[in-house]
Amino acid sequence: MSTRRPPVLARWLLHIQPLGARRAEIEADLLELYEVRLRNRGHRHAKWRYYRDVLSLWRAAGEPQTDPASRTVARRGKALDIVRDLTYAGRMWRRAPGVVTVAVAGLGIAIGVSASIFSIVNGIAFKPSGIDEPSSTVRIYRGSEGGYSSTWLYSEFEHFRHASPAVAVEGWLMTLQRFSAPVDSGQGQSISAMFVTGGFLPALTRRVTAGRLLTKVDDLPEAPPVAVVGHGYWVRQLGKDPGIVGRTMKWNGIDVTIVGIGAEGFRGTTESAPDLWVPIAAFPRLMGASTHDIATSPTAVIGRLTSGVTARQVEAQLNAAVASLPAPAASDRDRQPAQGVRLDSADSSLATSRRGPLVAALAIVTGVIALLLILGCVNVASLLLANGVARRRELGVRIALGASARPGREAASDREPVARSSRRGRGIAHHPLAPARAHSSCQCARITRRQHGRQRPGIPDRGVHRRRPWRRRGAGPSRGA
Amino acid sequence: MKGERLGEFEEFTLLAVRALGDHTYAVPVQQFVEESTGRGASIGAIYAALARLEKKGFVRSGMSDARAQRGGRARRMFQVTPSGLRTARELHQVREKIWNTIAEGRRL
Repeated sequence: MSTRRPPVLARWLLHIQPLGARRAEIEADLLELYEVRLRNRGHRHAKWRYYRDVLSLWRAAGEPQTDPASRTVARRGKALDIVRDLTYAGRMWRRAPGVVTVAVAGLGIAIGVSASIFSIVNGIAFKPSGIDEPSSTVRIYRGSEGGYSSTWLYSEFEHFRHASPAVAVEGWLMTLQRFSAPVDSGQGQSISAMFVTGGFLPALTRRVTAGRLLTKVDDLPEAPPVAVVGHGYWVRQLGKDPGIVGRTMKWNGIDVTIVGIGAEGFRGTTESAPDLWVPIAAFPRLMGASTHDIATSPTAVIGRLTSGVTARQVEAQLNAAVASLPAPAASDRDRQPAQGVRLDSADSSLATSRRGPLVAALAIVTGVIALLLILGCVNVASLLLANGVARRRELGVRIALGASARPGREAASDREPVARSSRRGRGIAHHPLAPARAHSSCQCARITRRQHGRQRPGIPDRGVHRRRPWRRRGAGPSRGA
Repeated sequence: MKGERLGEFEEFTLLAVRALGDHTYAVPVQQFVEESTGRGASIGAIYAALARLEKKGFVRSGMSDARAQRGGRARRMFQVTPSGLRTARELHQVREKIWNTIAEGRRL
């Protein structure tokens, strides 16, 4: 028997079809038919017929069911509605491609832009970092005459990192490195690597999906290159392979052993988790750099406070250490010397001290998003109204002739011009008894006369409606009576 | 819906169930209808026709035992009822009568 399966999309369409208690039986029937066709006519024919059969179930969704257990009439009705809606949308598109294209494009752009902006805002401000006990984790900023900055030199970081016993100071090279793996290793994609100190990950979290986090031993110069893969990378590129831990992969020509998989939802101190966390000790070998390159690399610093210690106490201790930093080298004259430190929350990539302006900025951005969506909706509403005005005669006749509720559902705005014009005595579409009155007034009467050949030749048709005499005189019916 | 009468496709489906020896299910019926009529018939159309026939009382259905070759899933087996058979025969007789009339050269 062939191992080929029906197409994924068709199986999904079948999966979302509300089949009720008959699902197992129908799925088995369809699979049996697919296998027969696969044997007799080949995969292409079997695939095409499978699609057709699945779609035919959608079409047949409105058929009455005799099995009481499978009477999911309401849901089947909805399924049928979807098919009718799509059919109607196709017809509308064909009839007025310009209007529909503008409406769809306008709404699509509005939704797309809004979603993009929200994703950015969400990623920056609301997405949890996955850090354990974020209240005791701080970002350490470098103070100079020009203000505070998150960028240290690695050599400066090395100088003060052991200055205070009340805080475990860790850092990472701020430049995210990218390198590609050879295709024969099963990878081949460009991956992002964040070079961190050995204690960096344990300072932020104790959680891990599998294996272990990096340790200080991994960050020794003689240690073999190891890495922890991000959960996202493990899911996307490694297919959630649980056996990846302990495996050696060749990146930039160097064998790197995977020792662990990061916890789900953990992104650390950056806006999104990198593919790999690698000890800084492996930087020279993996990137072909020298120790001098590391010393002059821009480095960001965090600290994990020990319990019972306040940030202000640690700040004072670190300030003393920073004061003894050597002056910048002659080749680095533009760099202002460090004069102090400031500790701030590492919970978000945006510091707490900037939360006030952030909230104001978010409020403005949210307002802009709302305005954009409203504009998109107004745009579509205007187009539908204009379309409705252009089609009022057609809609009036359709509804007057007793059309089903479907045309009324296509767009409430389509009806409105008809209803308004009818209030002026030009239509009958709004009236609940419209079908019964159809032949006594307006357009329908005219059409009926034409259809039956009763319109007198030579007598011009004077319009859709003839006003009643009392209206023409400006008198009401009671007065006329 | 044609009340208690048979539509063309319903008639094909009913006769297919009978021709397949009763106690048949949707898959062979679909294949039989396709082969006999030379027209493509989707499984959805067959389900719908069988459901209408069952509602009119022309066929009855019941579930078979679970089958290993269908992943342990049962089949819905159909059988033509005496009422269905009678209606199909009457339809056939009406057609025969009309064709005989045509063959004899008489106007209807």
